[in-house]
Amino acid sequence: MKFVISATELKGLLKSIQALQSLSSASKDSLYCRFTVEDDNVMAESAFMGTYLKKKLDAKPLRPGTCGININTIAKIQLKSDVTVELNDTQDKLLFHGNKYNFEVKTDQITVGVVESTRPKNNFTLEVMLPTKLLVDATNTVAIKPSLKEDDLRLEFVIKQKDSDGILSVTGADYFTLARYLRKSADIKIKKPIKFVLKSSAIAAIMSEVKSERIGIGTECDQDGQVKQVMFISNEVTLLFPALMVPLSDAAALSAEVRSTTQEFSFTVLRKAFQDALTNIKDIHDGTNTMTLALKISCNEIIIASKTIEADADAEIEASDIKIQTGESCVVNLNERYLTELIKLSPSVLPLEIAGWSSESKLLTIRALRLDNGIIEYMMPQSIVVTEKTEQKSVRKRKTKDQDT
Amino acid sequence: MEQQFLMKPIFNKVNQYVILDLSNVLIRAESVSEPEFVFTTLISMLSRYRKLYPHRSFVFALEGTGSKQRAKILPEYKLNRNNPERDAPIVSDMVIKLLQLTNSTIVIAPEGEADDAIAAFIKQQARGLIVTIISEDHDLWQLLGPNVTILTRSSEITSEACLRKLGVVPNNVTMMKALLGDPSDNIPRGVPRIKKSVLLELANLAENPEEINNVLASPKWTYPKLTDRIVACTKAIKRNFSVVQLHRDIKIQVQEYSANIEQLTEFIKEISNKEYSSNDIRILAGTKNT
Repeated sequence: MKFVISATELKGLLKSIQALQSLSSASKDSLYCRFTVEDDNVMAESAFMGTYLKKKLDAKPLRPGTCGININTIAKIQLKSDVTVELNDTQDKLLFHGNKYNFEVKTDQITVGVVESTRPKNNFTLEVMLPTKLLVDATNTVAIKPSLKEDDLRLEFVIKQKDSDGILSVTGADYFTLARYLRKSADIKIKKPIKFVLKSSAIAAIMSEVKSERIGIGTECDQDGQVKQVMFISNEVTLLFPALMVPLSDAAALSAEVRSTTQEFSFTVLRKAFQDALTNIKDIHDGTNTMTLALKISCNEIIIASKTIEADADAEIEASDIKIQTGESCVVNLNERYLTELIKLSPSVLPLEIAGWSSESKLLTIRALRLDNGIIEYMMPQSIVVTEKTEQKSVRKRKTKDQDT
Repeated sequence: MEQQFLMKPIFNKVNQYVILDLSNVLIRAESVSEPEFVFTTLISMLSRYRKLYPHRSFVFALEGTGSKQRAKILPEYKLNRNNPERDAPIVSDMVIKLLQLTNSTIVIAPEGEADDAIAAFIKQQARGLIVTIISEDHDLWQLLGPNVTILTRSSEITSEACLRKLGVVPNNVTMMKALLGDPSDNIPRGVPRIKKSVLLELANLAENPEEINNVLASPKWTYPKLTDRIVACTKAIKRNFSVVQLHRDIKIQVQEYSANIEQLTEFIKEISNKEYSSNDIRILAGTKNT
């Protein structure tokens, strides 16, 4: 087996396989991949946690063959220019020759079997065709990552027809936050409306490497009609994802329910103004614990403040259209990690509408239009203050220290 | 007075589970600590798992009478264990009370083992959801799938890792054990005097004993001595298979409990004679979620 591939293409493949690994916190040291060289093309396949990836590489085939390797070593090397990849005579090592470097990786024949066992067995019918960029954009927009672990995020895709347009709704949710992206486009072609839940945003990382303009989506259901597997197909990539058989909380219904309750306050702000204020007050934090910020809204100004044992900081946010239900000023507490993440994902040019809702869950919503006419809505709960007795143990310790000194 | 800021989740229902084989966790605790400190070790282990999966529901599986049921099929089943009752250590009322004061679900299959309770819970209540099982028991590897992983002391096992380590996909683990036996549970080899690699190949092709004849009929398996020996052992293979196979449709009893911080603090203080901070208690109870 022998082929020539550019370093950029190889890095793209590594990125895709690394994205697959984000499906679980299992060992990140194993990035298994199977190369297959045929007369006219070079394929790479990988499988992890029921997810299967097949990628047609932009490479020049020289000698047919197949082998599996753990490409973790290659991921650590800075690759440049074109690389010639060749399987040695004893088939136990894969050799990588570059302009100024040569290295070899042990082959792993079990990978060949692992990939074969995960390969899709059924022929999927494509139910939806849409622009690749739209799918990647939508997924990235809702891929909130404030949680400690990636596996907390779930993504729900709903693709349906309305009049002559297709509607793509992608909702990302972890335990605390919810992000929803809604886009109407005549470019979304639908044979059959589909709805499914995936457990990772890995799809965006993989698809961002896809060069073809359009991508197809097909689903496989079980006997009860629930989507079991989802397949994404483009010219170069075939990606099979196991779906989570659980409906996500209906984002549209939740949004409508929140809006039907009394709105405490609202204001409009540009992302940069909010981010600048956040950066200024975050400097006093040592980064060890999650910081809680206080957003103080009065009729003529919005102040964001942080507090630690050693210091206090506050900054004004340039805002307009400030409305307060009670007419008096109000304060809401917010988790800094989540707020920073949501502001970061918000569009940079058009203004954000920020509103607080006095529903039972005390939600803060950030709503904005994007330049592509897509609507984004983020929701996060306000932090509730819980007052507790200071632990006697720590007080006692401090006293003993004082006596010693 | 100390101020804490908590976020109330948008979603009340958590659709991700951590399932612990309680007997197995107790064995782990007993193996690393002196008898008088087992309870303290158990508390620290549970706290560690809660920290590792802060947003998941915790399910604890208890032993039923499954060992006795299996012993009716295979009398020597688990006879190699120190415990004369063949079962894992009896979970004391103290441990149960501890769990009842935390956010926990206790599941038991009265006519099965803890493994059966786990298998049945996944099929009946967590189908298609993300599940992590905490156990060292290889029998549970047959449950691995796209959304199910197993956390052992050394690593997290996925379905690919199962193929790498055992040589078969999760669906065929039962068949592999039926053919090769399982010394840890005192299950004899289903087909003696045949190479392990040959039996592994057979296990990969046949998901259950009924499929063996079809596999052996294919041209690759025409070596008469080999096929005759396997056919002669069909009864033993079927017996092993029914012992190893987990009962996913078995009846289970599921009991959910909510955390009671005050009572839990008192209980732990009384039992372990050790003071825990309110933060530690909240982690153990599964109420610290920000």
